[in-house]
Amino acid sequence: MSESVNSVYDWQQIEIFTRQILGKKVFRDICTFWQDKPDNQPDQGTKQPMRLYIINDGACPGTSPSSGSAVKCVKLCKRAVLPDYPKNTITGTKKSRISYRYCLILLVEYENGEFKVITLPRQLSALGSHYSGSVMAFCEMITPDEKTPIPQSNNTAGFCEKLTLITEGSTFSAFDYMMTFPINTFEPGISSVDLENPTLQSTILLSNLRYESDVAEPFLAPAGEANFIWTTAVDFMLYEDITIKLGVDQDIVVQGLSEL
Amino acid sequence: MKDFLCSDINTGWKPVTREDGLNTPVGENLHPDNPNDNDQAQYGLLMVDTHIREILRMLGEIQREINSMKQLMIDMKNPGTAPKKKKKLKPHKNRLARKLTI
Repeated sequence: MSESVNSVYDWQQIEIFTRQILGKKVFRDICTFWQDKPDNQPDQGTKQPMRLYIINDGACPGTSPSSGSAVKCVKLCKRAVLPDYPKNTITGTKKSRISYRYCLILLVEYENGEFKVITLPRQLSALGSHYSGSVMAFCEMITPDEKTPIPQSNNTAGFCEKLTLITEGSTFSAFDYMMTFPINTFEPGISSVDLENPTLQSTILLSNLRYESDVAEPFLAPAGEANFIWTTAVDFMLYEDITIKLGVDQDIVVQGLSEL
Repeated sequence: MKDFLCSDINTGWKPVTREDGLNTPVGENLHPDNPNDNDQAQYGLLMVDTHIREILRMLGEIQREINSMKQLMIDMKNPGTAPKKKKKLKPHKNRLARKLTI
């Protein structure tokens, strides 16, 4: 094995194009699917599992409806993030905002051995609103009368989160999660000059998705016009890690030898 | 908590979207978290100020170009007013030679 040792005089000027990472931030175990605690409970403003009222298998609305078969367990099949998301925006108030829209596909197993696939929020409606055939579950983040979403928000020390629903006609097409945090959270800190760099870019990584689902109790849900329908209350939460990096393009000139 | 096997979502490197201070979504605090942080408080103004300075610089350049064009048009219309070319002085050696011949 013989390798020629190159002299320093053989070195040449090599220009390298690369991306310099100016700052990075990893948010671990972030709950991205929740509902706010009601005002009348302690620790209001904190997150609690989203309570889904999943309609029992075979249940129909009525004044004295049949209970049908209750939900045995709920599993997450897929979390689909919409194209062009997640996005990062630098706000004028020196904050970074990450936002993304997603749908949830759940596999529901009933006590009678039946299985159903539910797509949320497309098959979601307001608790107490008129029941229609496509609705599979109810939740409390939609107003029953106007069917408008009630944004869930969490604010702690400049760290702001919001979860709402995207409306598409008379249905809901996606959940919209938004997280805003001060720029000085990045490690190492990013200067104002670097923030104004026209080549400033960002990359976002959503990883380690986990969920919690607990079947709570049977619930006779109002279904409009003095009707009721039997559902099973299920508490559901999503957790994941969110990593964001900010960087700029750099041309670096080094002295050396190219291997090619 | 249940682990869920799914692939990570990576956006790859994308240009950052910028937003001025007035387009803050509902529910988000418009003002900086620490009002005593002067640098942070000035940031929104700094961004606007930078843009204004750039626009003013470009306007200045355009104005100078217009003035230069105006002067060119005036010179073309009135060729007599154009500055005359200076006469070339004869070389010192030629003058000396002429004196010697006289």
